Amino acid sequence: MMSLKNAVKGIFFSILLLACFLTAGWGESWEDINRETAGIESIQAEFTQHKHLKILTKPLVSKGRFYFQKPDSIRWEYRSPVKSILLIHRGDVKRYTLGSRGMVEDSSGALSSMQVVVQEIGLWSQGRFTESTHFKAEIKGGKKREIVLTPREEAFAAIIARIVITPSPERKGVIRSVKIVESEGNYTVLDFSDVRMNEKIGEAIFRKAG
Amino acid sequence: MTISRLAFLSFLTILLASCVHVPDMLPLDSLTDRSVIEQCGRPFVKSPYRFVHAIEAGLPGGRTATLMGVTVVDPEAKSLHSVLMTLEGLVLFDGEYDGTLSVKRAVPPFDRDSFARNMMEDIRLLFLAPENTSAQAGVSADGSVLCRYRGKEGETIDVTVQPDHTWRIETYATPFERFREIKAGALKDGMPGELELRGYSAGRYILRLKLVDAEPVSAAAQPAEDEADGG
Repeated sequence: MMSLKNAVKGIFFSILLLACFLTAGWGESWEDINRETAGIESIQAEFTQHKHLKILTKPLVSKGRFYFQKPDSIRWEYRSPVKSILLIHRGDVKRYTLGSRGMVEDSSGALSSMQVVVQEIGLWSQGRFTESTHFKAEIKGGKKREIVLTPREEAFAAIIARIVITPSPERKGVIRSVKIVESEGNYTVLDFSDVRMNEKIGEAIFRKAG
Repeated sequence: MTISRLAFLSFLTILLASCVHVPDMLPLDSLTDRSVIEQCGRPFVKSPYRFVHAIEAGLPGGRTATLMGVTVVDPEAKSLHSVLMTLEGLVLFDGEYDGTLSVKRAVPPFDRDSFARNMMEDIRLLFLAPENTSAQAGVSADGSVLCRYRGKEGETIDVTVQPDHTWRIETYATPFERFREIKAGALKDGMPGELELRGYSAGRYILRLKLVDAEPVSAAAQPAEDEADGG
């Protein structure tokens, strides 16, 4: 049985995948999104993560780079404040973090969460966002369009209240931000930049931490 | 109890006692050596402070897990507020202690009462001076100053400040029953860039805290209202 913590981690990365699929372009309906996701082979982007907490006067900022290769390979790499790399490749999930013994495998890695990730990838790679068992997805707004994800399960709702994905108004098909709201005053904003699509990414990127 | 068993226990006690390092200390006088003894206060926070640490937790079996920790410490109010989260920012634990422990959020496996209690004990030992301020004190040949306090639960708290201003804190019930050990290093402006805490009582674990950010907490530096919007 997957722990709630691992499941939540899995969902977190699933959200990132969803965000990156959306960078490929989206329309006003799920049908548009389904059509446009069909051409995506790979995505890579820089990201900045702002963690807002009531206990903090200023957000805690983390930076890194993200890689995705169809069908289900991911590298989510933090450069600061802690160097850490999550690799998901061919059903295998590993996390490496720089600590006192150098770059070592971190046992908080989301091994169990892979079940969730694969499940979500399977749906999203076919543009079937609305079929997620964990989140209910809605397209909201007129000019300022947003995709709002709300947990279907009570256990997840206690951890994540909602996720809001906002597209870039300047560049068609690129998202501006992903906001993960946990509770009032406690949320994470991910901003993506330098988004590059369908460029060749070597397989080693998804297998090796170095 | 048989004589042979008694003899064995006596032998064991002597053997264990001989293993315990008791430093040769020159006793300090609480009046004439006050300035030296005051060095024992160096590890502890003097005014409200906020810390952000990257925490590497060493667990049984050689496993490690890395989390981010935010801690607000107020020595006057003797209060602590701590948030633990994943590197991705998901909050796993949010708890406060101001004489009473209150847990605002705890995701399994951080939802056990014993976890919250032990965590607050760890934080208190890291940042807050012992409540009983009267200490036996001494100075060793290498210039280290050691102060021995009696804790609330009757435990002994040894604070050793070394000549390079780094420090070590140990708590124990008896020399054979250690609770915690802290080492502070990589000082910058008197602030430890690295802290290592070893726990012995509630399962063996090691926490290595690397300082990411530290700032004094003042009324003017409270979180802004607009920051509190969950959107």
